Amino acid sequence: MTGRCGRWAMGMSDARQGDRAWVLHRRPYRNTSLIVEFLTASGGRLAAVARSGRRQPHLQPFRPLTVFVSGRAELRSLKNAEPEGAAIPLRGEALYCGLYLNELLVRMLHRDDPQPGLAGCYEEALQRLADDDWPRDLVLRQFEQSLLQMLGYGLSLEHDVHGQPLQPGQDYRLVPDEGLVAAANGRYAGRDLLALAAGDWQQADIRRLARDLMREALAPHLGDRPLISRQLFRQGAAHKQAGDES
Amino acid sequence: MKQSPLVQALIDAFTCLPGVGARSAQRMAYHLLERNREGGVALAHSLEAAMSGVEHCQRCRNFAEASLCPVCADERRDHALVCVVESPADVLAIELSGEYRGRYFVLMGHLSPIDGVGPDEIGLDRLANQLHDGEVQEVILATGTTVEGEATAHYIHEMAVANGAAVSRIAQGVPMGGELEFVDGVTLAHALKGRQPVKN
Ligand SMILES: [Zn+2]
Repeated sequence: MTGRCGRWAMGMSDARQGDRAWVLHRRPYRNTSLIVEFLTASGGRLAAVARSGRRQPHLQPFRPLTVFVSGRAELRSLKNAEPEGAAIPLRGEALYCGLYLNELLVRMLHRDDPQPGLAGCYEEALQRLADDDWPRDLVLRQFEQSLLQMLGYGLSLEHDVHGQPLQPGQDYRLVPDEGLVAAANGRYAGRDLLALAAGDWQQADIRRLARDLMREALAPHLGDRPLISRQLFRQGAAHKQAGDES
Repeated sequence: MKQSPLVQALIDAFTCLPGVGARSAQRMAYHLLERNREGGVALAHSLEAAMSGVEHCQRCRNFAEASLCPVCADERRDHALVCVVESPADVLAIELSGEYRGRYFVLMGHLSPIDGVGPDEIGLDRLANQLHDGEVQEVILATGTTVEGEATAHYIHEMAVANGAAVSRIAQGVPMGGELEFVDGVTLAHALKGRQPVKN
């Protein structure tokens, strides 16, 4: 692994060795404590009890931390969490996107399953969400694709499940966790899939296709309950529309 | 050690309180049984009465014993001005300030996708109706300064704007009478970002 994550030691951290981490979720525990779910650079997703955590305002999502954690899996405690700079300034819809990434990670990742590189991808996605020059849907799609790839469910947009190159004139359907299969009246047109593979993000319908395709690919890993953060986008868009009309 | 069944049931019942484990529950039960039976009976009556008599105000979702809470039922207040807060405790805090003459909308939480809490779970469908009907003209956002509080504020902001209502967010920053060196970095950064020109 190169880049940002490289300087963080690999292997399970102990209390002496800090780990780059992001808060994914907090829930109250006892009077003033929290159980915090982290995405860590070297330990993957892990949960730890933060004593007096409710009095530590930096234990917030989207804020880079170095955490010092001790104890075995299932009963870790947070010894210390040091802020590593300012929170990534996510506002408005970018904030919904950040919450979506967190919801996705908590649903998809098992605890204590190291995913080298994932924390780096996550950080990069957050930085881009905070940057208005990046189309947000593109950032989300790239993250979804990397996440699937890292978890071993990578999706090829150039070849079908049999290793044959996609044909522009052919329709395809997705077999989750396997790939694209040629199918008459399939949901996805080969032409559009190839455009997507080539990184053609200019057309709205290609972007919609990317959204639908990733949604279908993620679905088997998300369980039965719908993702709540998706409701925020949908209803947010509805409010905007109502505002434009009035 | 084996307790008599009634004593054990009382101890178990106390553990439903936040922050009360088996040990404190035991202490509470013994205290009431040994030293304060009268207080225990009064507690039992209050619990019974409140649990069956307290519901949510139909307008603002705060606790109420009638269909409207005292604030919503008060005709002298400005009902078109609505301050959105996360909890009944926030209402109490603002009421104590004595400055506010509008009414409230109490979310009883904030948006928290991972916990399964979306807009409908915090009553925003109802607030949307009130905005749509023109019942609400101005919204003051007083949700928490957490990430979830900000997301909730943004969501309500969009909803209010779409319905032509005015929106403001309460100011956030250094507490009055507070010394700067004791304010945490996050709050201070926020206060700096939200700085205002000094008026003469
Ligand atoms: Zn009320």
